[in-house]
Amino acid sequence: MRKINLTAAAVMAVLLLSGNLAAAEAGTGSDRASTSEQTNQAGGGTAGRSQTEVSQQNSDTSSQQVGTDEEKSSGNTPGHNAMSRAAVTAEAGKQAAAETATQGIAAGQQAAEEGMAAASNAAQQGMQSADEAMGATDTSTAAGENGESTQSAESSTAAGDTSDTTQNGTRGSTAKQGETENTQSSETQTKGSQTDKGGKAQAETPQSDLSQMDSLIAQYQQASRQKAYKVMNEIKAQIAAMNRQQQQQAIADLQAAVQAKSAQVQAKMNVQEKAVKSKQQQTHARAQAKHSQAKSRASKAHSRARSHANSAMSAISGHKGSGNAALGAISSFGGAGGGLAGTAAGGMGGIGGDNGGMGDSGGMGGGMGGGGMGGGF
Amino acid sequence: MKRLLFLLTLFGSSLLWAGSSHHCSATADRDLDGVPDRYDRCPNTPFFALVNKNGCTVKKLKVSKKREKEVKRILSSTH
Repeated sequence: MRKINLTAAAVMAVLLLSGNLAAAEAGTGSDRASTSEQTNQAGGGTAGRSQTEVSQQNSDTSSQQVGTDEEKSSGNTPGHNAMSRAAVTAEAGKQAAAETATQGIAAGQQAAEEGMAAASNAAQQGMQSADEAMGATDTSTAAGENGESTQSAESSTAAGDTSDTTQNGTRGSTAKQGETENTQSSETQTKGSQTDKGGKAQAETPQSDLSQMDSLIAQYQQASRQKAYKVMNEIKAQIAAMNRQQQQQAIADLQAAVQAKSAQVQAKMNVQEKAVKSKQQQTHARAQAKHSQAKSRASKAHSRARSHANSAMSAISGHKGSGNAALGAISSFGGAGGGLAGTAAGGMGGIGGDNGGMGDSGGMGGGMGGGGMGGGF
Repeated sequence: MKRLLFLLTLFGSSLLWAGSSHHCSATADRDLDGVPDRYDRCPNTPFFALVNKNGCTVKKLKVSKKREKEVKRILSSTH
């Protein structure tokens, strides 16, 4: 009975500790280790998890194999061989996992450095573009303000030009008239002096020439305001020397000439006032048109600058997000490394967990690393 | 009330007449001395008086009083 029991136990042990099962499990571990390499090269948190799972599975497998070896430590050769193969496979898996973890950490650090560099460059560019946008905004605002002031200056300048032109024109015409009047008055004075010389004779002889009176009246009509009284003095002297009938005719002609001159001066004044008013209206209309155009340009520039600044700010925030993602990748790689290190040497898992807590996805890696460490112990 | 309206109308019409007469006198020369009333400091100088640039008398021509009266009559009738 005892022999039967021993034989049955030996058969069960042989069946349980058959090397094929252990070898298959070990092979699965190495395959998963290689898979973890690929996954680590592919990227962060997922690699950490798969590596951690592999390490857990490897440790479980090794512990199961150890337990099986202990059960088969009764000296069965196939079991011993399977145990040794499982141990070798486990060592190979550990080495592969360690290498994978080292490579993953290095790749993670490199990727993180590159990501940080890219993020800093992008942030600098974003800040620069934001500064430019703000400068453009200031410039547009200043342009709008300058536009308004320039327009007012232009309008004032235009108004000044108009007034100057008007004044110059008036002065010019006045000067021309003055010259003409000077000439005429000199002629009149010459004639007047002649008249004065023979004034008494003319007064004594009232038969003065009406044609001379007509010429004097024509001179008066062309004379300026400053010279008209001199011509009028000559005319009065002529009239004083006329007889009664000639005086009546001369006075009537003189009144008609004075009224005509008054109407002429009034018409000139009206024309000048209208011209000045129309020029002022045109200038005002041009200034208003320029002002409205400048306002529209300023508003457009302001809106463009604002949109540019908004896009720059969004770019900055995006770059910040990418920087955070890079930091998360660093943390995840740290977590992966910690997890694998926890499999290799249990104390490292805690460090990996701490480092993994820095990032979002890195926290996941760290937590899994801690679990792996626990399994290893 | 009617009297008040009448007075207001009279006052408005007088203002209008004053404005039109002032506009007319801006370039007019009522004493025929060659200086417009707007710039004439002596706007009622006699016809046979020689004036300066301000329209004031500087010399009187020698004319008989009879002739002077006739000229005054002519000027008052035609003006």
